[in-house]
Amino acid sequence: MEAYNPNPTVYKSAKTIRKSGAKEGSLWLVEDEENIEDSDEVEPLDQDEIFDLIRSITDPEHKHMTLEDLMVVSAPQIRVGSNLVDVEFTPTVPHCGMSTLIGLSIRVRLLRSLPQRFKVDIHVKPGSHQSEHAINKQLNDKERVAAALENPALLSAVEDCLASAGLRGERLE
Amino acid sequence: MDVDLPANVECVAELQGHDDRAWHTAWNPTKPILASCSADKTVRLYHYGRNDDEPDPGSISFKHVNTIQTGHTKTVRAIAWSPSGRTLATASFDANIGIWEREGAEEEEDEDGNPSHTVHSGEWECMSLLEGHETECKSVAYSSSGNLLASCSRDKTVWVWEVHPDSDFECMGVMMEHSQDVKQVAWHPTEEILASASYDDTIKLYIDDPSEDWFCFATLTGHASTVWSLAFSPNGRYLASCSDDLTIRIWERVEQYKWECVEVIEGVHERSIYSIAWGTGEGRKGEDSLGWLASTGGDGKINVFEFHAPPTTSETSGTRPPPSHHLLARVTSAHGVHDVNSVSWCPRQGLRNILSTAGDDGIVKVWKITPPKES
Repeated sequence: MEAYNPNPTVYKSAKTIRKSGAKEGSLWLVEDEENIEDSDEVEPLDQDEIFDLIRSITDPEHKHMTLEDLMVVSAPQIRVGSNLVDVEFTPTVPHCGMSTLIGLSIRVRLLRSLPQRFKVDIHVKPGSHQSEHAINKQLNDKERVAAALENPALLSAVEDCLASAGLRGERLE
Repeated sequence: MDVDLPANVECVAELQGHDDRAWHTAWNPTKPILASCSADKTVRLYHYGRNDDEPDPGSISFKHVNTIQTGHTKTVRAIAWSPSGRTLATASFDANIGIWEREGAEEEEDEDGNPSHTVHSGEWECMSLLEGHETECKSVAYSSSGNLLASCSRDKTVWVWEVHPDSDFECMGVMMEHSQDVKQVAWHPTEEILASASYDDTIKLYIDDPSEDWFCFATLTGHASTVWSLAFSPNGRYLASCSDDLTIRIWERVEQYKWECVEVIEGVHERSIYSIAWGTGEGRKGEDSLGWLASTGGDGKINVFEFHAPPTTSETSGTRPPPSHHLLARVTSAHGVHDVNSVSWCPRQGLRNILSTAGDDGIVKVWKITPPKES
């Protein structure tokens, strides 16, 4: 198979940098600390936690690298509302034929990890892909996603990408 | 509830049992049966009846009577009853259409054609499997006469099948008009006009040319994203469509073969609108009533609108005002945090204020709309 991007730029995986500015190691912003006992509140999620869930997904073309290594995903590209998560990702090249698979892997990872109340929107960074509209539309069509996940070959490809997702920033071997 | 709405909505049944997302429901037009289908590849059938006993006379109760293990190898996306109520069609992501009938069904009906008390007995059998679509089937629908069946698929095609005796089906036409998946097909309530909604953002209308084949006579454009669902008004003069663009559009038949958008309803849903259904409604209605339109979608809301025909101002040539509508009732979080995938009105006399919904929670819910007694 011809590579879409044979020589991708690899970025240093920066596990310790909290890209959103939230305190390292804390699930809570500093000002929230005194409210931790308030357990009636629905537990908030922040962009770093969402990033942590998807950073170690394997890139389908460069199987020794993660989406974080290739800067396909990053914490600042994630927005979290009370019941909404919006993930933007950046294909490594504008003609990347793997973009749908990457987006599908992100969707499935979040589907399996997040509380059910979250609606998830996924899109490529504006201007980053020549088929931007088509990719976005497909990734956010629940019927297409449902059908894709009943396709054994596609599901297997997604599972391959997700096998490493649990590393959450630890290095791939 | 944030606003005072004229009608009261009550959840009268919560039907659990599907092991996965529930996609669609269909009310049998002649018998007290509600069917639902799911990603779990089954169809569940419920028998319902009015309770005439105290303490709640007039209430409706539902009882699960049958689960059809369809044999479809993938999600059963949509179902449709024939107008006779004898046949159920299933549309599956496995690209096939299943045709189901209940063994010994005829013997168990009394002289008036009403089901006997053994309505729930007898196995449902697959009488026919319609193959032809290349990829996922997404919708199936019987014409009002029951003589035609339409199906559509991600393969971009719409098929029209003629229904012959003994569950024999003949393909009368394959329309390859859409440039993307076809999400739903719907028949006009009285004429053999077929409508299809697509991922290509358009709606197409088809008729049979007696000397040729089925052909597309109109393409309705205006939606800015996927058109998920279609519903003709009970009088056949209007067509409603709903979309991922968060709008509902009302199209009017202005000439025999010409349909125009006369209304765009915005701001009533916050996420993709997956389904609409247009019924006559029940109870007090003026002669100008066009019935009740229900919509639902990814925001978990159900909206019910009442439509009225525009005043027929004589002498005014040209533009006719659109039908008026107002929100009759609303349910928020109808299936908790989950998407609602479809909405259907009960078509049976005296129960046309009852609707069913299917959700991502795998649950089917039944709702009763009670309008005010006085206006």
